Order: sequence, then structure tokens, then C-alpha cells
Amino acid sequence: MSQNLPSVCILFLLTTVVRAAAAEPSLTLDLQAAWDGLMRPGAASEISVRMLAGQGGQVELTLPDQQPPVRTTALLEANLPYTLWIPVHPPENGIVTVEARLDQGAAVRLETRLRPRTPQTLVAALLRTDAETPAERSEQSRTITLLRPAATSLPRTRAAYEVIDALVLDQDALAALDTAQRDSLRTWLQNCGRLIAVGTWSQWFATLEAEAGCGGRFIDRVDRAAQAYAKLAMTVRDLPSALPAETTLRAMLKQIHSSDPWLPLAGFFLLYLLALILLARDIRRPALLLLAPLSATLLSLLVWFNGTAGHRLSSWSEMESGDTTARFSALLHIDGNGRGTSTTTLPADLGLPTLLTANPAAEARYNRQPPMAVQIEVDNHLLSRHEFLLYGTSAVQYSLTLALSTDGPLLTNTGSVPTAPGLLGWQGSRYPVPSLQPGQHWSPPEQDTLWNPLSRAEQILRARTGTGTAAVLVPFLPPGIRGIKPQVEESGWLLIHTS
Amino acid sequence: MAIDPHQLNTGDTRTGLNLALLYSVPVLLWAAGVANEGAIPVAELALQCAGILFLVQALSVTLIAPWYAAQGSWQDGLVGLLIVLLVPLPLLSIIWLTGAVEASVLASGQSLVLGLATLLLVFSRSLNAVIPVALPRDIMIACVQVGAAAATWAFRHQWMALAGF
Repeated sequence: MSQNLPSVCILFLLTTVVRAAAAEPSLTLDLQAAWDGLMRPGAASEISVRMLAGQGGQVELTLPDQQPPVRTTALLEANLPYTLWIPVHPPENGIVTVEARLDQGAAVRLETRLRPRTPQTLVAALLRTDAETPAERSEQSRTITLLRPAATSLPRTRAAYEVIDALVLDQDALAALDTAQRDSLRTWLQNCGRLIAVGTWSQWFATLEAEAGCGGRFIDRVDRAAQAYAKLAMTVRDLPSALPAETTLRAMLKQIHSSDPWLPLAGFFLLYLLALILLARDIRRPALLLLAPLSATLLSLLVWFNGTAGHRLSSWSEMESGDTTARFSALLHIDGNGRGTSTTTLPADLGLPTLLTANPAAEARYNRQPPMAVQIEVDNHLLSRHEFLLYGTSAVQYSLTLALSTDGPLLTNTGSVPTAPGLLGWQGSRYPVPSLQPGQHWSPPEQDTLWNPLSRAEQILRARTGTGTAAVLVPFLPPGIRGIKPQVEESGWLLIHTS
Repeated sequence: MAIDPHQLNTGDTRTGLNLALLYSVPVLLWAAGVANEGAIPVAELALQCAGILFLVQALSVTLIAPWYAAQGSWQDGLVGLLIVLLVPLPLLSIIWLTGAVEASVLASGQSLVLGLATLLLVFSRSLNAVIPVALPRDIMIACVQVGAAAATWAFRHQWMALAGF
């Protein structure tokens, strides 16, 4: 027996090592950033995470450096590669880190570095299947920076298109796109993205063209790729009107009436001080005075320990008359009224909202569950506030058209239901628009009315309607973000302007 | 130690309450003013408010605890000190509800101040017993007050770090 002891020990050790190795699932990661790793500072992008494991199981992915951190899960099958596309906000240093954990095992950590695009240059992505000629190469290098991503690496989220200024696409490259890529491309075009199409096109492209924002004027078609470069240089200098920044949306949000969370607190402390002063006037039992702060503390905990988070949202949408989609920017406030966690589910096509301000003590997380829904999880506290900026496009079933002729603007209800009352801005003047019945036309009267200096929406309308231009402002909430939460307080406007 | 409320000195209690209001109300008003301006985030304001509150609480205790020891009974001193410490408790609970400071930090801060108060009370009572003559005793008590306040201020970063700030 004693002679066999070393062999038994070695066998035991070997078994232990093999068991330990088998218990630790192997997981390999591969990260690829969209647009060949190029990023526009401050804009969103997308990374693809390719995973492969020797044994199947649930993978939990975390992007810890994102603000707020992003979490998502995927179900892996053994030895079968699985790819997830995750929208990201690259930090200033461009490093995006991914941590993956298979079945609660050890974390695998990998990072990729995105490089910023050169300032003051225009970037276009070129997806064409035929080879470029040397002459084409020299032409493009003088005018524009070109990326040449593979069709399979085109983003699956609309927000990632913020990196580039234009896209050149031919029929074969289009055919290679999957459904998610096509959806994101369509949403980007609805958001006035610039596309130069090369060659002949399918019915699907005709649909894209019809749905495109900004009256479809940012979509061009050329017969040969060589013609695309000249088009690019021209089109990228024509910019769509900018949506209001967060400061404007914040001002609009302040106009939503909501209860001030500071008032109950001020009242509470006032009453507490009054009680102390009254008790101090006639102290017969000093020990009883100790009960006053204890009771007040207990009361404050009872009142503010649990509180439902308040949601407020202001949005601004814009479309050209005749468009079927509108671009929007929106600001979402999640206000804590006590300790607790709130979950807000956002529409899938928003990508990741930008977190503008947060209570450092109240953490927020993005929880992305496939296919693409984004859940914002917020740890709320009393008086905590998280502010998210959302950008997107939404279908608009609004049948009011605005035409501008030498006689002035003409509004027509082309739909089958009455339109909501609104405001017309024309050559710097303000005209209230009544509700129009189906088929009804309306022209502004001779007498205009005074602008409301307190309304930010009217201020924007006034700024947009200078000499020779007209626009209509109507109350509107993008269907996608309408009813994010049942208790949300909302305010939104739609600006319809002439192309 | 049972406290008979009928035997307590109401003057000492009133002094404690006045002192507590004297340091709590300015902190409260300052916090309300900063919050109204909206210049800094609520969590940051709450954190600053908790830090200031502990500092002024400790400084107040260094002044009042030796005085209580010289004036009245143990019971008077203890109740007076508790009032000094407990009056801002609702404000601390609101600070905790904002999530700016963990409950353990607030608890350890309060424990430190309470410990300091007890230490000063015991030390000053001992001085009372050792020095029977009034004038030198009062001078010694005054020295203890000034010395403790100066030390609390000079080592504020150290003891506040000990509490978790």
C-alpha cells in the first residue's frame, strides 16, 4: 500500500486539476466597433460582441464604464458563436470595456479602443461591391474621408449612424443587410440621414425613399459609383434643421405643472421648529422634550421612506409637410420621492438614451434584453433626479399639410379626422389655427396675434419662421414614447414646416 | 440609571435646546438656500450638510459638556447633552433618505460625538471633585472647553474620516 501511495496522490491531484478545469467554462470574446472603430466625440456608436463557449449557458454581459453601466444577457449554445450588437456612448478616451460571465463563472474582460474622427472633416461610409478605380480614389481623397466597412458590420442601431455624415450603398451591398440593419438604416433615413444609392434599386428602396425624412431630399441616386463622390461633397453641406438642445427641452419641462418636492420638506421642518420652540417655552418635564426629535425622525421616515418615482417628459418633433415620419428629441426626468428602484422601458429604436445628470448616490443602469428593448433601472432616493436625453423618429399620422404660395400659406386637412388647434408662424407673425375638419382649407387672416413670451415652443416657432417661411405648431407626442409610464407627465410639440 | 423627570433642572435643558437650535437652524437655512439656488446636486449638498452638522455638533458638545459637569447633576448633564445631539436628528434622517450618506456613517458620526460628550462630561466631573475651590475649577473647566474645541477643530479631518466621511 505504501508503495502505491505516490501514484494515488498523483492520480488524486490530476483528477482535481481536471475537475477544476472542467468546472470553469471557457468563454472567448471578440469585440468589433462599428465604422471600423471610428467615433464622433459625444455621439453614440455600436459594438458587436461575438461569444463562443465550450459549453452552453447564460452569459451576463456588462459594460461597466458606460454612464450608466449597461447590462444584458444572452443564451449560448455549446460551440456555437453568438453575436450581440450593443449601442454605446464611447467615453472621451474611446475605450469601451466588456465583462462577460458565463453561468456565474469567472469574468472575462475585454476592451476595444475607438479612435475619434478628425474634426472639420466629413466622413462617409462606402459599401460597394465593385472595385474602385485609381481615379476615383484620388477624387474622393481630396473631398471626403471614406470608410469601407463590410456590409455585415453595418450598425443594427440607428444612433450608431451619428458617427458618419453620409452612406454610399449599392444594390448588392443592400441585399447583404439583415433585417436589423435594414431597420436601423430606415430609421436613420427617417432622421434625415444622407444616402447615395448606386445603380438600380428594388421596391424596398422605393419604400425607404418614400418614408425618408426631410422630404427625402437627402437621398440621391446615381448610375455609377464615380458620380457618388461629387454628390457627396454637395449633399453633406446641406444640414437638416437642428432639434432643440437639452436646455430648451428643460425649459419646456419646467412649464409642466408638478408638485414641488421641497415644499413638504420645508413645511415639515417649519412645524418641527415651531414644536420645539413651543415646548421650550414651558419645560415641565425635560425628558419629554427628547421625544420631539425622535417623533419627528420617525414621522420623516414613515412619510419619505417609500415613494413612487415621478416621470416627466418633454418632447419636440419636427417634420416637413408631407413626410410620414418626424424626428424628435425628448427629455425624460425621473424624480425620486423616496428610496426604491424604478424601471422604465423605452422603445427599442432609441438605442441608449444619454444620461445627462444623475444623483451620484442613486445609481442607474441600462438593462437591455434581446431583441432590443432598453430598460432604465434607477435606484431612487428622496430628491434624486436622473435626466435622460432621447433622440428618435416616429411615424406621424398627422394629416395637416402646409403649402406656401405667392398668396401665402395654405393649410389643408387631408385626413379623415379633425385636426387639433395649433399655431401658424409666418414671416415672424403668429396666427392661431383652429381645428380643421377633413378636407377643410385654412389661410391666415390679415390680423396676427401677439407671441407668448413665456412659451419656449412659441419662441422656437418664431425663430424658425422668418421672411418667406412658414411653419405650424401643434401639440403632439411621438407614439413610441407616449405612455412610457402610466404616471408620466408629458408635454410635446410637433413643428410642421415647408420643405 | 433611572432619570426622574421631576428632579431635572429645566434651565439646563433649555440651554441645551437653545444651543441645538443655534447650530441646527443656520445649517438648515444654509441648506435650504443652496437647494433653492439649485447650484449643486442634492446628494452633494446633503453630504456637505451632514459634514457641517457633525462638525458644529462636536464643537457645541466641547463647549456645553464641561459646563454641564460644573453646573448640575449627572442627569441634568445627560439629558441636556442628548437634547443637543437629538434636535438635528430629523435633518439627519432626511440626509439619509437622499442616499448621500450611509446610515452606518451617520451612526458612527453620532457615536463619536456622543463618545466625546461623555468623555468630556466624565473628565470635567472628575475635575470638579479634584478641585474644590470655585475659581481655579472654573478656570480649568474653561481651559478644557477651549482645548477640546481647538482639538476638535484642528483634528476635524481625522475624526470625520474615522466616522467615514
